[in-house]
Amino acid sequence: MTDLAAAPIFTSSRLRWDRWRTAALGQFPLIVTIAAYLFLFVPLLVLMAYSFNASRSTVVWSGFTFDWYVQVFEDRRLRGALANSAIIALVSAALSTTIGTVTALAIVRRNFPGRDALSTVLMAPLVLPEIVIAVAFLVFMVFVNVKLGFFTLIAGHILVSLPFTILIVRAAASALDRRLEEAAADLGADEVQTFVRVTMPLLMPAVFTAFLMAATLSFDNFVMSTFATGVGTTTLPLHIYSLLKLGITPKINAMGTLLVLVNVLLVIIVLGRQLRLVLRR
Amino acid sequence: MKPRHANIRTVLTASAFGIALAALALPTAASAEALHIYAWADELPDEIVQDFQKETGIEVTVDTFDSNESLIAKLEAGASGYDLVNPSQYAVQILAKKGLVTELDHSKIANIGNISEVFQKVSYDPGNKHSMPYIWGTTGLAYNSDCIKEPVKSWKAFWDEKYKGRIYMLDNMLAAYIAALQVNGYSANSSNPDEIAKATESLIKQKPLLAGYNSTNFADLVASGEACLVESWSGSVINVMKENPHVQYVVPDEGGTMWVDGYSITKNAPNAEAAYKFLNYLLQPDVAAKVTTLTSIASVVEKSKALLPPEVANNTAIFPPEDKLAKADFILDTGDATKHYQDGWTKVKAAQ
Repeated sequence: MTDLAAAPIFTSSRLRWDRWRTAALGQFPLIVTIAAYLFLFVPLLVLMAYSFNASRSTVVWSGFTFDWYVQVFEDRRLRGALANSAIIALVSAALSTTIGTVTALAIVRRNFPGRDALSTVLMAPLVLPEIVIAVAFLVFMVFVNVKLGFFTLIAGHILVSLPFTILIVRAAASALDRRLEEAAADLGADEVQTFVRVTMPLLMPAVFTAFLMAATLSFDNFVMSTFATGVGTTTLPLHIYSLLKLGITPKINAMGTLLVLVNVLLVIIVLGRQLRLVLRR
Repeated sequence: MKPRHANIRTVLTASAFGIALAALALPTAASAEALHIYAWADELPDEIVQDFQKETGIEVTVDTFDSNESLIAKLEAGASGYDLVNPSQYAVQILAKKGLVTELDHSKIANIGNISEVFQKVSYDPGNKHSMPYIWGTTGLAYNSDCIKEPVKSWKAFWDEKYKGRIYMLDNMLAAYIAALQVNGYSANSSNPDEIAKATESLIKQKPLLAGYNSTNFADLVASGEACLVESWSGSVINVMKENPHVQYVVPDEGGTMWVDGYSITKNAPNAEAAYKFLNYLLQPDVAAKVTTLTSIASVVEKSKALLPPEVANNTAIFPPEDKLAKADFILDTGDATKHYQDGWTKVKAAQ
């Protein structure tokens, strides 16, 4: 108590300041979170707003219209580019997830010479600039005389997304409780049954995440696509970029809004399913 | 646990579905005659392509690129699979020099005589040996008359303190040097290191006055009044001029430049015959007029002008007065001097 008297720094105003500071610090994470959300979503909202703009400007508001949406559906090239992107995203994600899952299981479960080296090498594309991989990929494809097109795009996108799918499934596989599989074996399940009935269902959430990740990476990939694209395979990002010469119109905003809408619907469906699962338990 | 099984099935079905879709989308062999075109977006309207398909039964695929450099890179890598490509004038020179495009057989293009004389003699490809000119335009300046009351006629306005912070230059090395070279009285195609150095100095001196370099939405900016004065490609401002009468497009007194986007047939094109048919089709006056109406870009086919609606034919942003055009330069391949431009441009971009 004598200590307090000997420490005149702790005046009441200083105390108030301290309390205020603690409170402010307590609010800090909240403020940062809100700022981050604004940073992420304000551009999206602006994009969506201008998709209804009556003039062809993406900067000046001049009235409300649905015309750009009509134009999106009338534009054969835009539709074609969207279809290309969707097909390539689905196929490359499916293949990348399949390869990634098998590889991840091999790395986690099997013992073979060079396993550690392999698992490191498989992560290399994560640190290599994508453009380096893309140039090498193009040179190789031209060297082995493969025609550029869907095949090269899908192969290229698998190359880009594979490290991610392996990483995701691998994390889930190492966290898997081995005793569950042993229990299945005890109860008379053979290896295939154990894999199909126990291992895969347990890994499914991770595999699904990996699939979505790979599909997203593929859908907005630009660098690899630039190099790997061929006749008739212009993807959506490539098409949008090529429109820059004569200027972007709200048609692109409308397209973007539709894509956001589809994504939101997907999220709602996925969340809805999970909610149902939780409720049923 | 049952729903989880459904999950596996969903993913498997989705993948199978995706693969089936891909199989469908893969080129379904050469049943009909095909034609693969690599073109600037928005310069070849889809309607024209569909008309041509209907008339000839040739299956046309159009892919779009974003710059001449992308086009050159794609062809250089080989295995592109394109028959027709759409280079601008200096890219024609480069492609021809590298042997990536063939010499055109004029006997297969019956309508070649429809190209107006100016474009038959173009300096980058005299006699249209490697490329058939298609459409053309100019690089000049656009200003907002709400913000600048007196008519702007010269590149000098881009160095005028009055408009500080309201000027944009095109974010493109060759385009920026057009203004910088011509304002000093040089040709926009200079390959003289001293002239290029002088132009570089002008660009560095100009930089504090600029709101920025912009090649994407400068037309929007000048229409909204956020920018008073922008360096501009004619094709980019025409559409905003329709909506905002305050936007003026001018080919400056120093000359400005002209660009021509043409079509070339690639070396060893798999469908060269179809390519010739398409070139011939584009040169029909009625088709050329339709192109100009749809894109607001001038065609090289002289006779098409008579078929245009008057508001298009009399638009000076599409068809600048002839005396202005006489002084316009073509941007050509500057060969070894390119290095001086690149070094200078790096300095400009790094300057404060």
